[in-house]
Amino acid sequence: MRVWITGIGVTSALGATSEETFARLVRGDRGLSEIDLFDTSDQRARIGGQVRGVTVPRGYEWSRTSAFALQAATEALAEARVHPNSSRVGLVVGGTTAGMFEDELRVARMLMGDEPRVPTQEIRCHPLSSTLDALHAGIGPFCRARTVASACSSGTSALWLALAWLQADDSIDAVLAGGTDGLCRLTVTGFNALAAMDPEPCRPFDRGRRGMNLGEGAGFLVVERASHASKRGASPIAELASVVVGAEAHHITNPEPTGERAGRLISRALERARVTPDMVDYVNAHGTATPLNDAMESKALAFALGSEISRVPVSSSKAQLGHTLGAAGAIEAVISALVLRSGDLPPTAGLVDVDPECANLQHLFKSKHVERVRAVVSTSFGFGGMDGAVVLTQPELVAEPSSRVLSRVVVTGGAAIGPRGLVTSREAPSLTRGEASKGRIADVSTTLDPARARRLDRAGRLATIVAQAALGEANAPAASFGIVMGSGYSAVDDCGAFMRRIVEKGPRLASPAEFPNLVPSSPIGHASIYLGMLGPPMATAELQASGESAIATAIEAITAGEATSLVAGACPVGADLIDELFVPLFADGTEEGERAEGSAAIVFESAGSASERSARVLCTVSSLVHDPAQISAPADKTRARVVSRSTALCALTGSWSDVQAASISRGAGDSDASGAMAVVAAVGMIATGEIDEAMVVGQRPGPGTTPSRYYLHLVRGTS
Amino acid sequence: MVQGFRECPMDEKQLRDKIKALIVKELNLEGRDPASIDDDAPLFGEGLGLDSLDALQLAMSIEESFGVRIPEGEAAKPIFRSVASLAQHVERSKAA
Repeated sequence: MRVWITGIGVTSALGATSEETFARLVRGDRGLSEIDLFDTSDQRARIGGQVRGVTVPRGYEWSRTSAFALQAATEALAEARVHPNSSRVGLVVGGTTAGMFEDELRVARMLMGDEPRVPTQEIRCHPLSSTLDALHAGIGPFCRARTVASACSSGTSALWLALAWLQADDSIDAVLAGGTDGLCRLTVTGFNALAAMDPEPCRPFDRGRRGMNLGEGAGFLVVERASHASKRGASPIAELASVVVGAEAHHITNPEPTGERAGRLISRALERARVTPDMVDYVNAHGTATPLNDAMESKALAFALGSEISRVPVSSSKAQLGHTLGAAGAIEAVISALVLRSGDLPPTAGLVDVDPECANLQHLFKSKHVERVRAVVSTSFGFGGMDGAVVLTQPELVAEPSSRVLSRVVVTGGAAIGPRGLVTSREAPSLTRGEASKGRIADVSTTLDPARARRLDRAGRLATIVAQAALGEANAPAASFGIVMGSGYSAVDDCGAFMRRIVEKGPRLASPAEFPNLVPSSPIGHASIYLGMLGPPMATAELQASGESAIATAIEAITAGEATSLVAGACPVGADLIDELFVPLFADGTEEGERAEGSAAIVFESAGSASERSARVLCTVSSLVHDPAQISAPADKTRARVVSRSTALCALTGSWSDVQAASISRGAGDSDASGAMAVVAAVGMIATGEIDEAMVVGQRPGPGTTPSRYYLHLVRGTS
Repeated sequence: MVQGFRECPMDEKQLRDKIKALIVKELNLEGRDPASIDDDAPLFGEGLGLDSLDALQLAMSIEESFGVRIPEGEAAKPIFRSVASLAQHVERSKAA
């Protein structure tokens, strides 16, 4: 299967479209200015790539971040001539900030007692998934929608999932995938606290580089199967040959200094694309201009490109756009596509005196036009060691891969933690029984080594504890696994506390160690580092269905062959702010238990990998669908169970409607992990022989017509 | 007087103890007794095993607790060598 990019859109400090942004990049323009979106007078570094002139649509769900996404996504759809109304279009949004700019002071004031803690509509744009809701309302309907976050590689993770959807599901015609992030006080202060910002225009790969400039914006791409594009007469801008994401498992802020982990990942991306280093004619580097990134990246590129490193022109666009965080991977994929189309290679602005550590690269001090660009590599590296590499080529540069084989997905382990303690999947049926839990988990240190866990915040601990227990039950080697965990509101309470400190004490006293924990994917980064997990790392966010969205992501990726082994679940922390502000605001009528903290993780593997390592299979994923009619009636109703976070959802099950039901809310209480707990409980019921098959139902309170219900059919055995 | 047996003036010892307590609290060195941190042992790399992120956190909390700034970059390295060098920097900055 070939995948073509048929539409692109960018909103950036250099322009309102991809064409304008690219033309100005090639001209060497820099979109940096004094940030005046908010008061930066107390900040050490005050310049950035601020987007000007974008109008935020009216409505509480809209933020600047979502407005950038709307503009870029609209451009991409128009260029591709794809209409969500007449085609089946999926949507994947990567990002890290959503409505942080709009709400960060409000939340701080609430914590300071200066504003009532009530569920006001004005915080509707706060959850990470609000961009997805806004786009759905603005330019939808989308047939499937997902929010992903992997820090500064979020845009790349969105493309990775888009590829998986196109591989695994013929019913999807095209996927609109990208990333978006807006400047806010929290990120500007946080990166300043980490001394990662240059007060002057930044200088990637330069000997005197002192850090980055932040930016903002969005990049979106329409990707579709070449066969589908050809049929409707659409022409490709470039071919999306491969996307590989993985973890360094090294450090929460610093890259693995030898560049080997990142280098291996780039090599894997080239292999998957069936592109050899001698075919690569340009690299759009991550190139943040921090001392550590650029030195590491130079080594990583040398590792992947071998002797070709002395030939391949490399540049970073961040000195012109600023570092747009979760949007960067997508914006740079668009730039890469335009390089392939035009032959124009943009420069690294600000680079004068190349650092000896980066002298192995062929730097573009000025833009350059070449006759033909065959293949381009674009890299992204995020906090927590979340790496991504994208390979784009001229259409049909390499022979079409042989027909794809979809993988069967099996479950080999699971675990959950709640106020009643930690259970593995075999003990997890108890989550649906007994006296309902409420309140918080008392011990979030259990099973963790205090010295190695000292940087882990509460969410990081929960993610690590359940992933470790689930991998333990599966007797699985952590290094082969990736980790995808959902959380509806990430660290909203800690973000508020961070902002409160800034308001009360000034930006100089912002906590450098706390800032990385505020990134939505931070718990996943912590777990991957603690456990040594090197596979794809990312967060998903889908309010109450955050666990379901992570689990769906894992199943889709493994089915498509984009991953073989993933731990998936949810790790939302219990927080008064969430219970008081967001739960009432986004209630969907399924709330019936007490609010209780909980986390859960399930070990998913391709049947092939499980069999290769002689793993004991607890059950098999028979199907994951959005309509219960697609799941056949159980063979024996007495040996089947409907499991959900809420009894209200157990009724919505078509031919399973008279099957006995079990709900998490009755046993483990309500949390954004309840949906993931329901899966662990169902796995346990099958593993212990209580039943032969289960249907797990999840639902999110969507903006209307998004099929936001999930039906997961699990069956005993390996067939 | 033999160097190793020199008694610290009371306020200098208090300052060092305060810095040790700060290190344990700010860097979440759970279970570590502040008194067990040697005045002259290296804080980074081999010694306590701290890294650049810890240095930033420590610099911020020292600024908050003692009202003195720690310079950035290379100039900070000798200051962060040990508890003793940190204490010396705090004293000098306060005196200045």
